[in-house]
Amino acid sequence: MKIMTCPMNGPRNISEFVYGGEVQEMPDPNNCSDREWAEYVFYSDNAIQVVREWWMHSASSYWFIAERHTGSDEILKTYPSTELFKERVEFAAKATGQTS
Amino acid sequence: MRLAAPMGLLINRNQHVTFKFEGKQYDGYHGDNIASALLANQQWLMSRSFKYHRPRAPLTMAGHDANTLIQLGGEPNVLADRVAPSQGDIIEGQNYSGSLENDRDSILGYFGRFMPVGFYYRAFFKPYGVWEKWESVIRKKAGLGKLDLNFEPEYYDKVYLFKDVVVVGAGPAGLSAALTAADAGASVQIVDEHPILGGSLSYHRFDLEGKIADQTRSDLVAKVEAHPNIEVTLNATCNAWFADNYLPVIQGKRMYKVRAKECIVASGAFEQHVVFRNNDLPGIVVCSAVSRLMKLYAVKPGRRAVLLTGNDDAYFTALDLYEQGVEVAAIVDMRAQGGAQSVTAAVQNLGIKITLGSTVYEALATKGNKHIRGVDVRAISGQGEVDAQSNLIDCDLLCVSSGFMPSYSLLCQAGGQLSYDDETAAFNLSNLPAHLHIAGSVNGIHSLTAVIRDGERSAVDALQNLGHDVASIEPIECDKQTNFDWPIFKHPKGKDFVDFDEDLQVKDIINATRIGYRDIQLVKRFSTLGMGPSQGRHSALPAARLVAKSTQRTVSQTGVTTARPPYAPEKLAHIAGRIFDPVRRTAMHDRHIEMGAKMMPAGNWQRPAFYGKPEDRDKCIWAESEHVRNKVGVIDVSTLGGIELRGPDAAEFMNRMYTFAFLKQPVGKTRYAVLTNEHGVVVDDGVACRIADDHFYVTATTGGVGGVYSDMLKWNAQWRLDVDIANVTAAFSAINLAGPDSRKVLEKIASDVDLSAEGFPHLAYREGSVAGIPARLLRVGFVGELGYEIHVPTSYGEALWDAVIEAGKEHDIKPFGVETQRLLRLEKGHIIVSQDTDSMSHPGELDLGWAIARKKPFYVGGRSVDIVMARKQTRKLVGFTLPKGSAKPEEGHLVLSGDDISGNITSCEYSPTVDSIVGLAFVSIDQCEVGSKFEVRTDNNVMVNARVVKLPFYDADGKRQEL
Amino acid sequence: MSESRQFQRRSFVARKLEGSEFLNINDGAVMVKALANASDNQVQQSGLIDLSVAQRFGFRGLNAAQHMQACDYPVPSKPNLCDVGRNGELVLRLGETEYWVLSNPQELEQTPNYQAPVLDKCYSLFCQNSHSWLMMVGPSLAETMAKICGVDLSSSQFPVGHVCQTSVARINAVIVHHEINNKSVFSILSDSASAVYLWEALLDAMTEFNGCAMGLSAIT
Repeated sequence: MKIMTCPMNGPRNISEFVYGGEVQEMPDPNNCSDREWAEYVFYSDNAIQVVREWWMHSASSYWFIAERHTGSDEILKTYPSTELFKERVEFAAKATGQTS
Repeated sequence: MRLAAPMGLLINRNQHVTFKFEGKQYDGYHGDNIASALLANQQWLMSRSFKYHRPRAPLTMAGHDANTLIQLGGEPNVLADRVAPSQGDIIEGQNYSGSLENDRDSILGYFGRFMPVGFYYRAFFKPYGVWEKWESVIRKKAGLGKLDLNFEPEYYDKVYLFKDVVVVGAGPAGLSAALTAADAGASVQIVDEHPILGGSLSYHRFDLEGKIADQTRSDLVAKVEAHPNIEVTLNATCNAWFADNYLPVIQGKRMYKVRAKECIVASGAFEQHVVFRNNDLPGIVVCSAVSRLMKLYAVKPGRRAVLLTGNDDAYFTALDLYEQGVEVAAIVDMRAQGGAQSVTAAVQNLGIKITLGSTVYEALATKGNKHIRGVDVRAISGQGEVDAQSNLIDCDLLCVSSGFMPSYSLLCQAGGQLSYDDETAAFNLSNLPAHLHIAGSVNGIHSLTAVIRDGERSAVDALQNLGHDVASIEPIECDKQTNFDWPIFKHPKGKDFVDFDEDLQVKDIINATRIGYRDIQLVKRFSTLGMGPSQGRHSALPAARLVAKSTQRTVSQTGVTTARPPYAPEKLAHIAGRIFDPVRRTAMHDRHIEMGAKMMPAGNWQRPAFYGKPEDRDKCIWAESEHVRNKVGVIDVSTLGGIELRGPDAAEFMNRMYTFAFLKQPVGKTRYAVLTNEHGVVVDDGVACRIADDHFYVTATTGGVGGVYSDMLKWNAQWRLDVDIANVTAAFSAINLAGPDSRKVLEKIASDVDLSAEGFPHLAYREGSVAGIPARLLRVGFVGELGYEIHVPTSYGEALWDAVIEAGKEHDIKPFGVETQRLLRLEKGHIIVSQDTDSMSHPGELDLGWAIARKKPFYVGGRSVDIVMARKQTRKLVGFTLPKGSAKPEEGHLVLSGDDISGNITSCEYSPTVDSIVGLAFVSIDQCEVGSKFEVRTDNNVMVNARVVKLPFYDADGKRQEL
Repeated sequence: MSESRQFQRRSFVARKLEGSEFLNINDGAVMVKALANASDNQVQQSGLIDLSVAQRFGFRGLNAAQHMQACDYPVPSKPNLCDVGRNGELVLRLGETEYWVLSNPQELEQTPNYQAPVLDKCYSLFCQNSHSWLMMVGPSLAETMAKICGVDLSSSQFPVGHVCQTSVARINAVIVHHEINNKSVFSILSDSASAVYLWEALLDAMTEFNGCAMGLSAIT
C-alpha cells in the first residue's frame, strides 16, 4: 500500500486520498472552438512522463497537487494548490447574441 | 519409539496427545505436528495425488509441499506438517474413493497415457452435450477436501503495526540482522513460520562434530529474546510484499498489517529434489526433512537409508542418520568429483559407501506404490542420461538434495528479478527496491559464518537508510557450490515428476513446448505447472531448465512465472475478518424502528422504506401516500445533503457551480439548483435557499453530496473566490411535513413564524423556532402537497420528531417512508438524479432547459451543455401511463422502436391517486410526442403499449402545493 | 432512555448508554457513571466516554486566527496541533485557517466562551452537530487504535498536543492526543451520523484491553 505525503497531514496510506485528475488549463469556454473544448473535456496526453495531478486527503477534505511519474508511479513531490493558483479567476461576460 | 534426547527439541514427552487418522487412533506428544506424530508411528501415507491418485507422504516436513494436505475435522486442506494435533481430533485424508489406503481412483494412474498434458482442453465437450454428463463426475473428482457447510464464523481480526525494521525469517541470517538493527536502537520485528526461532540452526548440521548449530542457535536466540527492541512473532507467515514495505503477517486468527521502514527478507531457500522415475514415493524426502524429523521431533525416519545428492549437505545428514541408529546403505553423489575432503573422509570412516557421478534412475516401490523399498542406481553418462547398468540397493528411506532455490516470492512481488548463473546452476536475486534487503541463503550465501555476516551487512544497509551513522559491510562472497546443474533423468516409462502437486512429468513439460507453448508463462497456464499449493517451490527450477533446453534458450531467459500474493494459502476469514462497514443513521432512527419501519440502505445510510411488514409493502405505500394526499404525513429527510456557502462571493460561486441564475435570487426564497459536470451531464440537484446576500444553504442528493462538496472545494481552489464552503449534511436533521393538514400541525409548535399562505408562500425560506428548537423552514414542492421541510441541528432531531408527532396526533399524522415519497414525487413527474438520469443525460433530454441561465458568463459544464443541446436530439425522458391491469414495467425494462432498443424505463409504479400505472422513461426523439405510444418489453417477454402523457400526472396546476 | 428524553438535545449515542447518573450539560445529558461498572473507574482501565453533548464550536477564514485571539484563545502555531486554553479548553487547529474549541472535559458545566464573529472572512462552524465527540482513556490507547487505524499513534510518533486527521474504522475522524490528570487520552471527533457505528467499533477494539463504556467520573 503506497504512501503519499500530504502537504498538511504528512505521510499517509494512499487509501486516505482521492484522485482528482490532471491539472489542466481550461480554454476560454466562451471563445474556443468546439474541438478545443472537446479536447479539454475528453482527452489526456497519456504519455510516460511526470504529470501534475489533483489529490484530496479525504479526512480533511484538503486538495493539493502531486507530481508523479506515470511510468514508475513514483510521487516526486506534493505541495499546496496555492503554489499554482494564486489569483482570483474571472470569467468574462458572454458577447451578446452568442449562443454557443 | 522415539529417538533419545537431545533429539526432540520441540516435543514434550510428558504430555501425550491422541487423535484419529483415517479411523485409526494415534498417539503423539505435545509439540508434534500431525505429520511428525504419524511418522513416529510409521504412518507415512497422508494423501493421494491430484490426477493419478498416487500415494503421497511428507517431502519437506516444513509445510512447503502439498503432500501433507489432510482434512482436520470440518476444515479441509490443512498442512499436516504445520498444524499440531489437539486431543481427540478426527483427521481424514482427502481426494480418494473408498479409503486413503485403498483408493479406487488410483487406477487413474494406469490411464496416464490417455491424460497427456492439457488433455482436458480437448476432451469432455465433444460430441455436443456430453459435457453435462461429464461435469458431475469431474466435480466429484477434482476437489480436495470437504467443506463443512454448517460452520460457524469465528472472530478473526486485524492489527496495524509500525516498525523500523521487519526481518522475515528467523534463521541465522535473520537473527543476526535483527540483533544488529536492534543494537543500534531500531524497533525490530522478526517474523517466522515456525514455532521456534533458529531456522536451519534448529535442525541442520553445519560441522563434523554436530555442535556449531546448537551453540550458535542458543547464543543468538538468547540475545534476541532478551532484547527490548525486538518483537518476536512466531507461527506467523509474511504473506506478501506491498508497496512501501506494507506486509501482511498472518498469525493464528489475526492479520497484522505491518508498515516497515526497512524490510530484510531472510526467508531461506527451498531444498530441491531430483527428477527420476517414481521420485514421489512415500519415504523419499529432502535431506532437511530428515534432519527436522530427527532433531525436532525425535522421529526415526527409517531403518535403512540411501542419500542422493548434488552437494555436501547429504554427507552431514548421513552423519546424523548414522548417529541415530539408521543404517546408511550408500551416498549416491551426482557429482563426478564428489564432496569436500573432510566430510567425505568422515563418512567413509563410518563404513558408508559413496558412489560418485551416479544417480537414482528409478525408485522401487512396495505393492500399491505405498512406500519406497529400494533404488536403481546408475552412472551418469551425460546431461540427463545414464548407463544401462543397474545397481539395486534396498532401502526404506531416500534422502535427496540436488540444490537450493531461493525463497524468492516476496522479493519478486516487490519487483526483484531472478537471473540464473550457469556456473553455480542457481537462481539469484537482484534489482530490489530501496528499503528492501535480502540476507542468507535466499541471497545465495550458504556457509554459516558468511550467512551470519550477510545478516549483519543487510542490517547495516537498513540502518544507514534509517539515518544511523554506521560503516557499510562489503557484499559477502560465498563460493560454496550447492546446486547440481542437471538433476533431471527422464525415464521412458514416465512417472518422473517435475511438479508433484499437479502430477506433471518431464514429458508433460517438454510436450507443452512442442505444442507451441514456449514461454514459461504459457507452459504454466497450459500445463498448470506451479499452480498447486506448493506454488512452484520445487517445480520452478527443473521446469526452467527443461523449458530452456527444449526452446534453445538460457535458463535466465526462460525464468520463472510471476510471483503474486499470497505466498501461502490465506483464509478468506483473514481478509474479511473484522471488516468495517460504516453505517450512518439519522437522529430519528430509533423512532422509525419503534414505529415499525421497514428499513432500507440508501448508500451507507439507513432509511425507512415504509412502515409495516415487508410482505405488505404495496399496501403500506399506497396507504401512506393516500394519507399524505388527504391528511398529513411526516418523513425523515435528514440524509439529504446540505452545503453552507458564506462570504461576499457566495452568490457568484453558486452562479458558477449550478446551471440556474443565482446572483439575483431574493433573500428568503428558494430556487431549484441543477448541477452538470464538465461533460454537460446532469449529476445532482437540490434546492438553494438564500438566507442573506452572502449566505446560501443548498441541498443536494443523499448519495451525491460528498462528491458535490469535494468538487466545490476543488473548483474554488482554482477560482479563489471569497467564500467559505461547508458540508453540513450531518449537522442538520430534517423532516418533510406534508399534506393538506400540515399547516395546522405546524402552527401548534412554530409560534414565531407567520405560516399564512401570504406570510410563508410556496418556495419561500423562513427561520424560526419549532417546539423551541431553532429551525430553518422551506416550502418545497417535491411531493406535490402543501408541505414544509424543517431543518434543525442534529442533536435536536429526535426531539423535533417527537414534537411533530405529538402535535400531529389530533390531525391523525402518520409517518411515511422513502418508497412512499418516491411514488408521491413520481405522480408529480419530478425526476430523481441517478434514478431518472444516467451518465449521458443532459438538461435538454430531461426538460430542464428552463433551469439553465444561458446568458451567464460561466457555469460548470455550460459550454458542453450548449454544444450537446444544439445538436439534433436523439432521446428524451417522458412521462407515460398504462392501464391499471397491465403488466407493470420495472426500471431498466427496455423501450423498443420496432426491433431496435430506443430507451428504457427509469421509474414506474401503480398510482392510487390517478388509479393507473405511471412512470418515466427514456424514449427516442420520434416517440416523445404527447399522445404517442411506445412498446415496452417487460418480464418474460410480455410486451405492453405505453402512452406518452404531459407531466405531471396529478394536480397539473400545482394548486395543492401552493395552498 | 428516560434520562436523555428529559432534554431537547440528545447525544448521537444516547441509546448506547446505560447510566446510573446523568449530568445536564448544554440542554443535554452526559453520563456520569456507567451502570455496568461496579468498580470505581480510574484512568488506569481502558474506557470510552461519550462527550457528544459537550459544548464545542469552531471558526474558519482568513480572519479566524484574529477572532480567536480576540476571544482570548491560544492560536496553535501550525495545523494539526492542539493547545490548551486558560480554562482548560481544547483548542484545535485543523487547517491553515480552521480552529475548533472544545469544552474542558473535566469542567463541562463551564461552557467555553463563544463569541459570534464580527470580522468578515471568519465563519462559525457546525462541529457541535456535525461531529460526535468520544474520548478514550486508559493505558492502551495506541494499541487499541492500531486495530482500527492505519496511522502510527504511538507516543513517539503522535505526542501530546498533536492532532491527526485520518480514517478510523473506515470513517473520517479527527484524533486529538491530550492529557487529563497527567495521563494521555485520545479524543475522537467524527461524523455524528456514524457515531453509533464508531462507538461499537471502538468498544470491540477495546475488548482485548478490558475496555468498556465509562462516565465522567472516570476523569474527574
